[in-house]
Amino acid sequence: MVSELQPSARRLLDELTSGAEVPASERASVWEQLQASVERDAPPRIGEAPPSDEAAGGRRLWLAIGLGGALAAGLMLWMASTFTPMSSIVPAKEPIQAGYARASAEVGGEAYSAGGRTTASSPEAEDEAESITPEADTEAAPEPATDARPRRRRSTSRGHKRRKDVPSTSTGDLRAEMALLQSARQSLAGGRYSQALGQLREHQTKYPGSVFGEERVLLKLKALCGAGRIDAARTLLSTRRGARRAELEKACPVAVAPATP
Amino acid sequence: MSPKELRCLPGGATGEVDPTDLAALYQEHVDFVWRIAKHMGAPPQDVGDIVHDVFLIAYRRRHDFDRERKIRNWLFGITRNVVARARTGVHRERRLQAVPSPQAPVATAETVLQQSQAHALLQTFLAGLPEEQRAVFVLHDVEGVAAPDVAVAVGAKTNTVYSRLRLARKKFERFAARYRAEVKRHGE
Repeated sequence: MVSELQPSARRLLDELTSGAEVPASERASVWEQLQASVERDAPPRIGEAPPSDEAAGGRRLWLAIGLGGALAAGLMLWMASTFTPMSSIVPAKEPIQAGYARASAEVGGEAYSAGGRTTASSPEAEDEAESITPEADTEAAPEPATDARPRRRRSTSRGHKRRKDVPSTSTGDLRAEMALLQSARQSLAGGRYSQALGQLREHQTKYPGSVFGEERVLLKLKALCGAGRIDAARTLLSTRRGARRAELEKACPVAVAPATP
Repeated sequence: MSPKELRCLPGGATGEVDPTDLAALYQEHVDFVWRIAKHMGAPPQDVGDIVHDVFLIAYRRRHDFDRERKIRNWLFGITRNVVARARTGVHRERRLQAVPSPQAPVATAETVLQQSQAHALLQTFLAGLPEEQRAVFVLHDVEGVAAPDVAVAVGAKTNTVYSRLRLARKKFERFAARYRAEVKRHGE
């Protein structure tokens, strides 16, 4: 069982949900259209989604696709390491070099400027800045280990210190915060992953102690996953534990598979 | 059920309606579907289309309905899927090409305006919740659905429902505290 909402919160919820019925005109209008659709045997307007009972099957399909993609990527990496054994050292191997640069950008994709460090202002600059600011996501502990390079910091104590540098927004502009998160969600839904990541960074900078920090991580994971930055998504996911873990894995199934050495 | 039989809405039905009776189903559950669509993050301009689709899909799948299930659980599943599809923007292009519908008349009553603001505030909160928590919070704390039924509706264990509910409530309580603080700060 779970304890009830606090009385004051319950009152607010009741206030916010009162009078939430369909307007009479809208009710009649939709009904008229529904009748017409039945008569004409018209298709759904939004498009027919699979029924809930089939949703699990759909998820399994996506998981299979994701795992298949991960296996294919792993095979490619294995082949690269097998046939170009010095590629990680000799930069003349273009694919590996590009892959390394990509990995650096992915790892840096979690960079933040919560402690006053430079924040990239555009997606392109973001990747460049990230490569020199291998700062991990400074969401609520535990601290993510997002940088594969040696100078990556791992101490969480510094992270706590850095968060103190950021002004508290506990009574900040709630609507603005919500709007920013909503914008990130819309960017994500529209496939604008770099934009979404930028908005999420902005959210973290402005609202480091937000109640929606976990939601920010979830959105970020989806954005990284959608952008194909699987290594960064995997790194972010690896730092998460507890009840949220399953939800995060579901958001980016391909990041669940371990990285291929 | 012939289309002609759909012409008139029946009087208010109570209890579980026959899912093959579209008119009764619509009459009984349209408010529920409407609220769920909004609370689950449907784009405001799509809510009408979503409600339309939910009942159209329900009608076409009426013979597949498991009568052991509760109708609201069934409708919730359909609604959530249609909303998810709407949010992907699959039909965005078609919508952009469509002639924009005229704006609804501006509410004249202050109470309507207040309801609209309250609704917007609730939506901003719900939009910030992970989908799983939002579904549980909406069904249990907004719609008053019992936890075991919520578990069936969302396809999770009851303990998982409680866990998600606990997280969502914690967030709402903090949200409420911040909201009250802001109201107090602005002297409203």
